[in-house]
Amino acid sequence: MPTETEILKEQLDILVEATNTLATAINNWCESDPKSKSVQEEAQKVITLEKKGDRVEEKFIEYLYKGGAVHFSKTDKLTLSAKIDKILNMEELVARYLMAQPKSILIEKTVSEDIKKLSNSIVKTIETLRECVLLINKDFDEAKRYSRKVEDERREARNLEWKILNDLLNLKELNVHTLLIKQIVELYVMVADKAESLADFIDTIVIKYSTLR
Amino acid sequence: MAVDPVILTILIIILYSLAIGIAVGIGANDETLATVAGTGKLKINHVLIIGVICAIIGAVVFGSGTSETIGGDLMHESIRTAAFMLAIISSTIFWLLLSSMKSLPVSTTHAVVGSVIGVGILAVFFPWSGLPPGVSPIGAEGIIKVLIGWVTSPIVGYFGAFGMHLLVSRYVMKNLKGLEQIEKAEKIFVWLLLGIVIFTALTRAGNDVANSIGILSGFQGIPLLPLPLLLLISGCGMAIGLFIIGRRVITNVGSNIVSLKPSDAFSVELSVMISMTIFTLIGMPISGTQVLIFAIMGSSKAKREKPNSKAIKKIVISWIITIPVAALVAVGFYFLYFWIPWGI
Repeated sequence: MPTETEILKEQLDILVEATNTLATAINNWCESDPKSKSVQEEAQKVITLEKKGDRVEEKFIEYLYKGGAVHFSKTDKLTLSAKIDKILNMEELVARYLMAQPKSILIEKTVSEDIKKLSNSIVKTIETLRECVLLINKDFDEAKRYSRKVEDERREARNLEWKILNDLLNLKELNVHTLLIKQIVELYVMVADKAESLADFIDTIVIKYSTLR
Repeated sequence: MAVDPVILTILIIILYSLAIGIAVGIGANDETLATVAGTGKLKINHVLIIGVICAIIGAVVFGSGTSETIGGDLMHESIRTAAFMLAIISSTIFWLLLSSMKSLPVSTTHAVVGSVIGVGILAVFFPWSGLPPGVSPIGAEGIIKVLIGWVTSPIVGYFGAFGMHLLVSRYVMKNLKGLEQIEKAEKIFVWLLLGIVIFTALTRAGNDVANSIGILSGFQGIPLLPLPLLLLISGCGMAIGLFIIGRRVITNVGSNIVSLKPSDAFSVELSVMISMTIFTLIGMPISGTQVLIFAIMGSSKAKREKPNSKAIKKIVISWIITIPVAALVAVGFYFLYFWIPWGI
């Protein structure tokens, strides 16, 4: 039977893989149209990974239910796993929106460059988050430091979002495509928001267990 | 007055039934093992089996000292009559039921002692009590012992848990860096806690058994079984109460204080164990419930947690009023039983 850390690591690895895959899909979308094979395949991969993540979460719940963890921290661990799943759900939502975009959609060069930067920022946020989650088992001080990093990276993603929206809304020609791109960007940034929410929860865990020490 | 054999037989049956009834009630209200159940490490049935074994062994091995205090040291032999004894037992049961209905923490020891004090004071002023003039109805030494235990045991429990929490926190928990290390330490604390709680359950059974058979062991007019056999019967009564009804109490208390980590519970239970052992060894009947509650308050204070003022008010009120109320109720019951021609 896998250990608690192994199951959590598996769920986090799926999250990182899904984030990278979604970033590739978004970057490909910036280069080509949403119906291209490269976008559709990558977005489909994200959906598959989300399902895989659900199975791992179920495994984690089963592990906790069968008494595989210390009683007093069980609910916090369950919340942790549920919050990871929420990020994956958000990524799946972005992937599905991406797959449904019309073929004719066109993205301005400056906007597409910023969207790529946004992808990098979100990937960085999730990678830092992964370390942060694993660190609560080893070192509270480090986990706290990493949760600050997640917040900083999420702020960077948020700044990029404002820049993209500003560029989009100041285009010479505003049309339905502008709104569709805006919607994708807003949904995509919510992945970083969810990551920040998990980082906040890690802060709560750190405060709770370090003050109870 | 000659003792009517029919009345004597009825009296024996009533007294023994009530004594066993109190034992069952004590077992049913025994929350000693709740902290272990709350850790989730053991199943409730396993916890109950441990409790049953401790109740029987503890009653037989540690019970004689406190039983003698309640039965012998507290009352002068001239007032160990049927009417007085029944008044004490009835008042104890009445108070236990009333406090349970009002959700007040139940202290059987205080109820028994309060009843004894009540009938003792009555005996001085009531001309037909049978107390010879100039004789003190209540053993001063026994009363002083009980009163000292009544006042000091919660204080010992409170400050014991407070100090213990600071020690555990400063020398063990503060050095741990992450959740993994904390959990590892907590797993060890679960086993330490189990050891302590088993010992507490043994001494507490020894202390609590006095409340059910202590009054019988001091009774002058009825034939008594040998003390070890009385202790065994009472121990079995507590075990039955614990196994059948105590399950709910343990589950409720265990799940309500689930936020009490094993290390916190360890501080609390270690303090309770030390208090119970000291007071039992010196033959002072004390309330295990009160010690546990005050120990939890002491541990919370050390954690700088804001205590539930409503709950504390309830606890303090019940702690203070048990003895005077039981005393008054016992007086009332005495006047009910006084008119029956018991012959003893």
